[in-house]
Amino acid sequence: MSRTGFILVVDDTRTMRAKMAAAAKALGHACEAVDGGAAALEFMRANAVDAVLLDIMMPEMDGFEVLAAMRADPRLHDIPVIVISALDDTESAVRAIELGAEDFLPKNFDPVIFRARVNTLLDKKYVRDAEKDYLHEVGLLAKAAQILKSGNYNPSRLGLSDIGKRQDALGDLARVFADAAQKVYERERRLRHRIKTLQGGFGLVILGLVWGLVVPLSRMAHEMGVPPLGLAFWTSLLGGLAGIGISAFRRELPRPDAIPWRYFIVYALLGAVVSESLLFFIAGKVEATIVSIIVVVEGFMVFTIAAAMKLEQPSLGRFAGILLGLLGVLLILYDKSTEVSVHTLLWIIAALSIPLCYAVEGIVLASKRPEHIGAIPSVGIMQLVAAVILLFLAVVSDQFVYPSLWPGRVELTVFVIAIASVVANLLFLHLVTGLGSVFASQSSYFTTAAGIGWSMLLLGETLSGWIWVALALMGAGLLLVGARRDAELEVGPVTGAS
Amino acid sequence: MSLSHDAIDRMRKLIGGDDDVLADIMMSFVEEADALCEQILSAAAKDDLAGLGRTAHAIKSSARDFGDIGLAELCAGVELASRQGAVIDPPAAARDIVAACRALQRALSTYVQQELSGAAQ
Repeated sequence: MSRTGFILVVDDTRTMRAKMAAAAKALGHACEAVDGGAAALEFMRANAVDAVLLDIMMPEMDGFEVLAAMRADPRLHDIPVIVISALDDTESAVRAIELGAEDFLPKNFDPVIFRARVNTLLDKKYVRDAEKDYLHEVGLLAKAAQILKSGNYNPSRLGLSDIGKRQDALGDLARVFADAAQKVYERERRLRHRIKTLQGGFGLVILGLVWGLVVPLSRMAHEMGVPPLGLAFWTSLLGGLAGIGISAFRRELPRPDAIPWRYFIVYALLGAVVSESLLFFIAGKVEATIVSIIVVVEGFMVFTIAAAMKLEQPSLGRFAGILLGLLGVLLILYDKSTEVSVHTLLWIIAALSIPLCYAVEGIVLASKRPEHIGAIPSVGIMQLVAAVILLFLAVVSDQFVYPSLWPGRVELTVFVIAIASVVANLLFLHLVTGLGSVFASQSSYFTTAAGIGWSMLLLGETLSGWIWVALALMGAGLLLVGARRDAELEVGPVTGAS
Repeated sequence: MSLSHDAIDRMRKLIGGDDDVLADIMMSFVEEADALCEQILSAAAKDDLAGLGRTAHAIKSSARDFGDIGLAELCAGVELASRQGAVIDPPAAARDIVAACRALQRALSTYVQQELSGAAQ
């Protein structure tokens, strides 16, 4: 016996419907019977039908109209139809076949003829369906080849998983395609990750160099008599205006009602108001090299917070990386401990709140950053919000600084700090969002190293050879922490027996 | 007797030899016959030749299935004449069909009761 199918019987007389449905069921097929053309079309549009036994002469919508409607509907176009007509009405049978019917049967058909015609019709339909599926899958394979040709090797984009389950030559070809794509994709992904880590590493060095400059400059500003809050206000205002100006020029500024102000107030407090005011204040009390060293504690703080919040993957290797960085700092502290007083050590402890601010800022940026606002407008808005808060604080505490009409050393120092601040914030934001807050926190090592270097250069402070050992340890720590893994969909090769 | 045992055997074979299903099919005609008779009388009274021909066609198919050659030929004649617009006396033709149809209806009902033990009832 042939495979069984689903047959729809369409006849307006109940007796004929009952007879044809019973005959179809006797052959092992599932069957549904409807009493008119409109009901038949509605049923076929809602259900999968393998063949139709269609009466020609029906009131309202006859068999010819049903055939015409089926041919016009792509969903029904390929359903084979046997028309049921009287033996003496060959004219109708011929017309129906011209309209697309596959065959015809007389109303009082012979059981053997009925079985032969219905089963043959279904066999032809199944062969046609298989051919259509095959052609469709050949088309998918060709499309996959085009996708590969365009340089996209992501296996999930090829759509070959179903074809790969076939046990024939087409399935073999799909598996070869998918396996090759998977290998290239994996290689590309590893390469991209390596490039990203290298780019991130370069970003960390630049960020460290720029941000490290702020510490000795802050000490210089203190020595010139610029009060911390006044300095923080002008730094934030200039940085904010630069960020907003660039964003406006690039048409990247969001509408005010699209800005999450609460986020930016927290960002401003952590990233500028508290951290920079403290930095400018403590820079006046403690050597710039010591402040620079303290900043490195940020890496440990970020990793601890991020791991506790499950924002980053805690691993032994990354933890070891952070510890290596800390070991480097301890080496520097050991080297400096013989030179500083107890009073200075207290300020050093107070200075720990600076890296804490940066650590929390990194976490907030990584987890809550509004996706619809770019990096430059984000930094610009944050700096301006900070400037508003700092203006109030500076005026209230009588620390507001009026710039002189002719720019001198003070104005130049403030300007350089502002530029360094905005560049550092931009780089930090880029690193946090691209590579994760733990990776970005590694900038503190370079900030420390650069801060020490700038302090030696600008302020004449000195350090021993231990510093170089410490820097080597920090570099090793950076390699161990690594970049955050991509969130790209990882797809295994298409499997199937070969 | 308007039933043909050969025709009934052929239908039994067609539907897989199930007497319950055969009884169902026969009772379908028994129950449908009243409506078909009303339709053909109504079409004839209104001189609706298309309706007359269509109903004659429907009765003809069932009549052939049950082996009632007389009724089938009567219907075939009316169907052909209706298509050609040449029914001389539609009400009389309808009455003839109705009379034969009632006879088939009774015969089928009796067959189901007696031969199929009233399986469908």
